[in-house]
Amino acid sequence: MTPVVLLMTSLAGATDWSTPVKQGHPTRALLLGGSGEGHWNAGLSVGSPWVTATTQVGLRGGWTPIVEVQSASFARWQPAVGVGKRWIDRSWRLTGESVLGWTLQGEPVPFRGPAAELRMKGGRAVGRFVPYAHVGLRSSRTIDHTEDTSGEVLRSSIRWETSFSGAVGTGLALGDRIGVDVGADLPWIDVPNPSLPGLHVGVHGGWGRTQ
Amino acid sequence: MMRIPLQAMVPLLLLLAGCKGIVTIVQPIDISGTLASGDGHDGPVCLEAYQAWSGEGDLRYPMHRVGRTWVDTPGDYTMSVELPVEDGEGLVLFAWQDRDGDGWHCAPGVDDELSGVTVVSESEVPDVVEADLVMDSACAGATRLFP
Repeated sequence: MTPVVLLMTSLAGATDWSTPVKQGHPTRALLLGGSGEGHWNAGLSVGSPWVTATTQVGLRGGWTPIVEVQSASFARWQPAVGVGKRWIDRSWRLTGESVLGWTLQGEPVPFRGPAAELRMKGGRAVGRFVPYAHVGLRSSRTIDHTEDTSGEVLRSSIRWETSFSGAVGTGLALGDRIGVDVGADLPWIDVPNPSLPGLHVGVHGGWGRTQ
Repeated sequence: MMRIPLQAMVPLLLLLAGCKGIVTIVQPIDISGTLASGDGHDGPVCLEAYQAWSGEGDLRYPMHRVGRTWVDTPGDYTMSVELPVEDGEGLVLFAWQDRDGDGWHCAPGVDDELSGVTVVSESEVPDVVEADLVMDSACAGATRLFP
């Protein structure tokens, strides 16, 4: 038996992961959405090209305020604040999230403007494992300018960017307050222009009151 | 008193800077002159303005069209264009005479629609241009006539 299997077996046998406290585990909260009431959760996902940092806190009724920053190759930044709501929280969890923020992108296609995103996170915890799927729709708006050589603006036009976000993967709860995940990022930025998929690894932590 | 590091303020300043997307810098040009047909025919003339060169390095190519207008018949004309100065340079005028009125230059079966080119500049272009053009080549396209 390999050391990895021994470690997994010992971890899986250590705790009953179906108890309510473990249902509020930070890995489940961040990957399936919706923190437990009074729980603070933070996660950092590092990959290529996407890097994401998220902090959220659980309120009564399954409401979960969210603060996040996403970046693609450190050339496109998407800071945002929003709120999530657990819709289904039984053996399966389904959460809806909406965030408002900004899209900041440099050359060669500069874009700076407000953005809004609606998304769903869902999956089912299986022991320590948390297979998950995310889908979302994002809309950003900016203004293009035509200027003469003296800098005077001759014309301005609004430009909308519609993007889809998506991810699939699985998390692994390592302890009561820490977990990790690996996943594939499947965004479609600025539809219909093609986008390349990405991969990431993430780490999640939690603190605060448990119930 | 609490001091906020400059690095921490950069994202905030970007957020407060509002919307800004692609900025295209152009040079407005007013063009006037006279169009002449090599064989004296009347009829509508399609007048097109090109940047002489566009792109950089291995991707540099001639004759990037930046404007187009129709003139009723050979004679005096005026035209205004905006040159995207960061993408290319120079100004070339190309004109062809639509003798059969189909809107196409030398469609199949037509071989007598005259065209011509005038190279105003291959580098800097003044804001006001006077350029005369003679159409005396049958069925020659803009790129073919560019020297």
